[in-house]
Amino acid sequence: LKSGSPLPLRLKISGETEAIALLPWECLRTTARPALIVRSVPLRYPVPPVTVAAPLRVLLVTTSPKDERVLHPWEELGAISPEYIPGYATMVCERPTRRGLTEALLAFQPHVVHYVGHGATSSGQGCLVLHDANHTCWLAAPELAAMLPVSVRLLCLSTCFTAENHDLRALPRLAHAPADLKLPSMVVNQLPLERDSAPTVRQFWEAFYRELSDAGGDVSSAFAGAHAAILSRPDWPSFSLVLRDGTGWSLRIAQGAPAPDLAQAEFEALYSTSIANYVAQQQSAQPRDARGGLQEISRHEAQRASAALSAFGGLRLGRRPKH
Amino acid sequence: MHVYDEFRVVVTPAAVPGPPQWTVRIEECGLLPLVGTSANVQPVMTRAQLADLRRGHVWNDLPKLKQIGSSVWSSTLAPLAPSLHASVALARHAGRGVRVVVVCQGDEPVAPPRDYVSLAELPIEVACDPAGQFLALDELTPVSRGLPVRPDRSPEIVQPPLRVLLVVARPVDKPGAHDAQEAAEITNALQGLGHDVRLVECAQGTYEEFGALVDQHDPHVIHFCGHGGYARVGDDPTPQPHLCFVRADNGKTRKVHADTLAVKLRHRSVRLVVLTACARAARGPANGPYWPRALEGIAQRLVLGVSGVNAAVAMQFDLETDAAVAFSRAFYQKLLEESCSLDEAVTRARVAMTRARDIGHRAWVNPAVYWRCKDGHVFDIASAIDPALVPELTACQTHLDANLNFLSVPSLSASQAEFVLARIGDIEDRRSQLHGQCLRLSPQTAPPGGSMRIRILLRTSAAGPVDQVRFAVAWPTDLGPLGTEGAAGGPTPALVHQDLIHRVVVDQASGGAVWPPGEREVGALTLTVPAGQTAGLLRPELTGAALTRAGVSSRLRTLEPVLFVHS
Repeated sequence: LKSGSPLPLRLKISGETEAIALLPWECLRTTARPALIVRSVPLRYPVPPVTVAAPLRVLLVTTSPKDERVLHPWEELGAISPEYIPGYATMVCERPTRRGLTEALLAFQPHVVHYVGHGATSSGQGCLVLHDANHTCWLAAPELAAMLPVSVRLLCLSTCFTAENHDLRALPRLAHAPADLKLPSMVVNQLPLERDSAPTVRQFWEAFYRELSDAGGDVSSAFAGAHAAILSRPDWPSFSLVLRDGTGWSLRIAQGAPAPDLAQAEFEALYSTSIANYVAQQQSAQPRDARGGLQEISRHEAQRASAALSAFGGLRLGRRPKH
Repeated sequence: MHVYDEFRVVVTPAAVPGPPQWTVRIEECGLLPLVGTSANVQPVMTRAQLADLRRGHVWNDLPKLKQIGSSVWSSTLAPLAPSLHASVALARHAGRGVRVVVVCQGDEPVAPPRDYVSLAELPIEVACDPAGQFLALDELTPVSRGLPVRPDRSPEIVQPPLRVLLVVARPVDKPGAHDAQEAAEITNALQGLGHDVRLVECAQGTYEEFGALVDQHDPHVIHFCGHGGYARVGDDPTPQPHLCFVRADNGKTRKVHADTLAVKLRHRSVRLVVLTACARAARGPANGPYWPRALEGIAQRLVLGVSGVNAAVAMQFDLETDAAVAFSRAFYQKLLEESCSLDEAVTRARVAMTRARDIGHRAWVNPAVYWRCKDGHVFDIASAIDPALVPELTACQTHLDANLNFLSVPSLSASQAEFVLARIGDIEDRRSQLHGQCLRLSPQTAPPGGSMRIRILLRTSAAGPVDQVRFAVAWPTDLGPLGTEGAAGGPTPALVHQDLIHRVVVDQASGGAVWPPGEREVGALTLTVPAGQTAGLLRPELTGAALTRAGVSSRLRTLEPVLFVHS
């Protein structure tokens, strides 16, 4: 921190001590300026990126259940919508029920899901607040994980700023859900925003989505760009990035559809990495005499992932030149 | 006995005008046409009878106990008696037993008259039929309590020793604080089981010590011996049940609620919790809830909650020391037998308690059994498996779990789903080899509107003819009609449908031929996935699998099927 390095500082937060995850680590300062903090839920093996054809599909989800403080969805969406930024196709899913959201996810197959609304906590788990026939439906991390198609590589959880959030801490709680839940990296609000924060919100998301497209899908880089854009504003510490893929690079944006053999190789690599990480995470909970076998499975699957990508240059990460 | 048909009865308060009535309905039965049979019955068990049971430690009177049992019978099972007797006769003819599972569900719409017990308080274990037989004392008809969820969890593979954590909590502000005899007797009983049980004691009874021992020893069973009670939690006015641990600073009661305990036991190996109220259990304030019943509340919450606990045995009343010792010795000894189910072990323990006390003493009525593990098997005691293979079996299970976790995302394409299911097929084949003798269905995938041919794969560990293979498949959702096909040259399996449950019987599977050890297809299930079916993972359950060879039925271990509807 003292060196004032412009590189982001990656903070790995593991374990179940929620209080540590909920600290606003982003407020750490160097002598000159705030450090750029990126949170990370530790994984044994980094998840390889998936090549997707531009434009990126963003599903904007906005909720305003009547038994919560009512917000103004279109004012909220107006501040974050990437639809005017080149390289995005958007779809709005307004006031969804659980079923409605599932159908929208399956029909649209988005790469990014951007939720705007309240948070809630149930049994210590962070929840999104959806609608049901009359009231609210709380969607916890495991249910959300089971709902997201494999196409979703990034979740953005924006707190509402036209109404006070029911339970804002639920959003970072959800982002820090256990690593064995297959949730993607998340950009999340951790501190409350109010109506006069609208310009900050607009500026952050505009910079974020532009940079995400320019950087070819590098979420860390996009977050750094957006972070820099709002540093002069008082609300900047509210925005937080929680990496859940080990790299911050879960998408590789291409101009055309990827070749079928590349798509298959990426799928196999994604599968094997997922298995390797899951088995690695379960090792400590298993009897000691089973751990050797689990370690072997985990290592073998990681090797399979590398082998699947070897014909395509392996796990390549790199900034795509601006165009 | 080891192989049981299930006679599952749901009892709910009936919303009818006039005196309170309960509706009893057969939800599961070996005789399929009887499923759905229901009747209304007027509860006749009185509060005076319940009070007699609760102070039953001071009397030993068989006619009186039978009278109470008769009231319970009349309040619940009486209108279903012909169905129960027919089920027992059928099962006995086939060398099986009938486990009676009673699910008490729902609250009375209005408080029952002061003289009668509410449904939640009914001690179903004492039910005594008109012939004067207590069902729960007969190994042919073990009695247990069901929960709103159907049995959905596989047994935990355990290579002996079974790790048991005995918690003895005696807060100084509760009766019996200095009575160490009971704990010592239970310890002796468990230690008498030799190397098959590894006993760890939490002697101070503090929650801190308990937590440390759970972390350190990762027990399979927790046996809590102490007090329960009710208290308000936060702003909720309804008293919640708790266990009484010991405060480390002053030795008084530290109340630990079920949800706290459930979180502590999450991601651990604990699958069974035994809760016994000690002989001098605090009974609670006058007109307040009867405190020993708190153990039942804790048991239900643990089994239904996040803890991973699959079964619980809770005492309904305070339990005499000699009865507790008899229970512990017989229960754990039976539990350690391969293929023994939980309710069977408890029935054996009840019989042992009648020897310690007497059949006219209420001690044997005391254990209430709650479970959600398939076929009542909490543990798969792997004594028949080469101990050297158990670590690999555990690793295979985790490898499978990882694949199921991956399949939990919707919208995989056909080629992606086939890729993953081929990997799962390899894992299942290896698991089958490690088990030696088991039944499984082949992993399959199809799109909505497509069809699946699901192979029924039987692995036997010894050569010989196979007379019959039988099992039931319970679908998680209505997938429409199921069909069967014979294997090449083999008989077509018989199929009987009942709601979402399909019973499959393959008679003369080997046609009299001697089959060598190994895995064979004995038939197939055919399924057309409904066009409107949502894409995703389907996990049907296999239950009641049995293999008959040379006229002898034995339980078959099953592997859970994996089916996937791809987009």
